[in-house]
Amino acid sequence: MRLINLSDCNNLNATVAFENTYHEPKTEYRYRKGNQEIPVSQSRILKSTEATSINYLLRQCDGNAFTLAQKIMQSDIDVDAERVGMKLKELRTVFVDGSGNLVFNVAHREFLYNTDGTVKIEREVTETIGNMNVDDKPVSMSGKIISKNEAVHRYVFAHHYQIKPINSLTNKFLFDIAKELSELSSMMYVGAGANGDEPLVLRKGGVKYHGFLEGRVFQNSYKLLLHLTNCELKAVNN
Amino acid sequence: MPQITFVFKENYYSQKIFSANISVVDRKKLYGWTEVKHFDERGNEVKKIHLDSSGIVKMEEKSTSFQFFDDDGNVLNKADLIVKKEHTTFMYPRAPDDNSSSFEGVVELCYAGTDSLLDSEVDSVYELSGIQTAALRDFVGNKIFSFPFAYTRHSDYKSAFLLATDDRVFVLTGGDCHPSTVEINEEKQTVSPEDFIKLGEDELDFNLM
Repeated sequence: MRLINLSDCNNLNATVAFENTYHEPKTEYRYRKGNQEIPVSQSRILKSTEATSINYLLRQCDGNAFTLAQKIMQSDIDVDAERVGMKLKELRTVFVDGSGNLVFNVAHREFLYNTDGTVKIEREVTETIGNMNVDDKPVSMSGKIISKNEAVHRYVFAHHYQIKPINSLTNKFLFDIAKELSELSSMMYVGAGANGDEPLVLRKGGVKYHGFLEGRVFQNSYKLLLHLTNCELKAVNN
Repeated sequence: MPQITFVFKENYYSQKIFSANISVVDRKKLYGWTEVKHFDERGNEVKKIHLDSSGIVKMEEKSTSFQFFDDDGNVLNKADLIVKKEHTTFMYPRAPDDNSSSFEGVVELCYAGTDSLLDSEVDSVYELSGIQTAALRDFVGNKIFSFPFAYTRHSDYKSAFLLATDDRVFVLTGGDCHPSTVEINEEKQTVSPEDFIKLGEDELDFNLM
């Protein structure tokens, strides 16, 4: 269970536990051998080599698909019969130029595209830094609320985490937050960083999300949930 | 564009039926996207590929796949395999003889609350369109409806939610989350300063050996 530092509206903060509420069900495949059901083994296999890929072959034919189709029909140049289907173990990632030669000194650039596919910005590759670690500034409740019904009609919540206590002191701390939010029937925006206004990033290189805390209180129990969104509920051509 | 038909049974004698085209809302089309490209020393774009462990075979990124094998190393066809799913609580379990997709037949709507939607890890958003969309939008209003959704045959049903904004109708689909409840601390009697007892002079034994 992961720990985070959570701050309430009075700037009181505590280390609390944080866990995913979604669990992908595992699937196991078996085959029948006589009366027995035996687990299968899985291996990564080769479908095609770089030299038999359609893109490479098309370049060899100067982009002429008709010529390529004729060559394929004549001599099956799109199949490397000796290698296709071979089991692959460790794969290494390398870079090649247009002629298929290995390139060693590679520069990486990040391109931001507009919705119409045009380049908006070209920049150095940036990697997000996780800002929800227990050593970071607390994840802060902003004091900005939105009703639950309005929130689900405005945002698409892709991930949900549960905030849990790690001792009886934090149990009281979290219960008070959940109770307050439950009574308001609202969610509160939470942010990270020094001012508590930055989007949440769970881990290094992770996606930036806006976070909302929601509380549900029952007779003798409660749930304090963190809902994450990076998308509004709107149509493409708006 | 696939078409989906909803039915909402108001009571035993009355029901409403709506049909609409369904299309996915791609986040890229709303906000754009980022992509990392790679360049050599001369500024020409280069391509990322894989090399096998021998260092001889070059392959493009999507030119591998996973294959099932038996103990003797023979290839197995996925359709012939026995599928064992981990036991989970699906909101909409499939009946053994049901293998249809949501685009075959009629999908029955039920009322759902905001908590149900907030307990769903939304992975796809679809927009509804067509001539009955306005009527459907008026019918949905500020309410939320749920229904089982399977885009393809044989796939597990996901939880799906039908909801409307000012001018659009959407379907959100996703997996079910199962947050647990946390027990509240039992109320403890509060101790006031008047209840404290003065520590006596010889009360502590310092012969601590």
